[in-house]
Amino acid sequence: MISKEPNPPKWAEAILRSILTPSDRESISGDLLEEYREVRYQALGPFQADVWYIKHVASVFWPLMWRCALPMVPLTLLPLAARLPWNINLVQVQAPGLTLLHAMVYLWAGYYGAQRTRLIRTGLLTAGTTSFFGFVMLFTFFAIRDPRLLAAPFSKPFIFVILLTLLSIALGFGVAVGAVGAVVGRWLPPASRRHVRAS
Amino acid sequence: MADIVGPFEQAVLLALIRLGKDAYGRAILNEVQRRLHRDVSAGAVYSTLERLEAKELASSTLAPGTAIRGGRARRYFAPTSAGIRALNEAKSTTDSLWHGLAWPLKVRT
Repeated sequence: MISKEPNPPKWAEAILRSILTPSDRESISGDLLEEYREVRYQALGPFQADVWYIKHVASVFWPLMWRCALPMVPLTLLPLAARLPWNINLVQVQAPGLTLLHAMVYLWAGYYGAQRTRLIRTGLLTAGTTSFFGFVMLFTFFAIRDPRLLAAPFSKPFIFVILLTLLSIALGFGVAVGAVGAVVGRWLPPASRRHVRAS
Repeated sequence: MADIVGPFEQAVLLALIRLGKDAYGRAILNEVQRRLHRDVSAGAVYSTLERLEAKELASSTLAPGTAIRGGRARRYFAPTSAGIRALNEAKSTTDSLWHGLAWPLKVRT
């Protein structure tokens, strides 16, 4: 049977269900769907209702992500500022985000995501987003130092290709290392969080 | 001594009390927004509810969902007795801080 009710973007709903703990998966996604269908879709129209939904999915994702994204700030900026010796590149590829310390953060991100939701895909998502966050931060750092970098991909398209390649390498490395953490996180027993009232 | 609850935790706990038996995620979010007179993200409310449960200041129970939410369960929240004690203490601390001062405070120019 095809539902006649309006629905938020499928990808956003898939992300939401991937980042929620098993005990919250139904209730929180149901709350947002209810508000989307009953109020937002009628009041704002399809496009703005979708924007509203995506914004709230991002707000639910952030509490899960900040613990993983926070270590990326000193990790990205300190080696650049101080050129510290522990900035060891793990693979023989000249791309950002491939050091031993980055790998440890991706491992932690993968572990933390999967441990929290009991889903390996959450670990992949948190590790991938963490590496993406690190890449964007690095790009921003260089763009602040030399603002011409922002315009460069438009004037010289090959720079865009180089940036995309570097991003793909960083993302691939993050997801691959994060997968190891995710498998461990999924395999280990979860830390109990919820205090449920007997009904 | 009861747990110390921050202003946002107080807003969420008070929403649970005001809503009573109807305190589920969406209603809590709307109630907090109405009381604070600002847009509040769902993530902020859900992570606060999770924290309150972890501190055993609130508890929850699942109930069947409705068709509009695709049949997904609703989670209803209620403050625990420790939650009520923490709110009472927070109010008493605020009252004590303000005691003897005329409100609103006058701005010195």
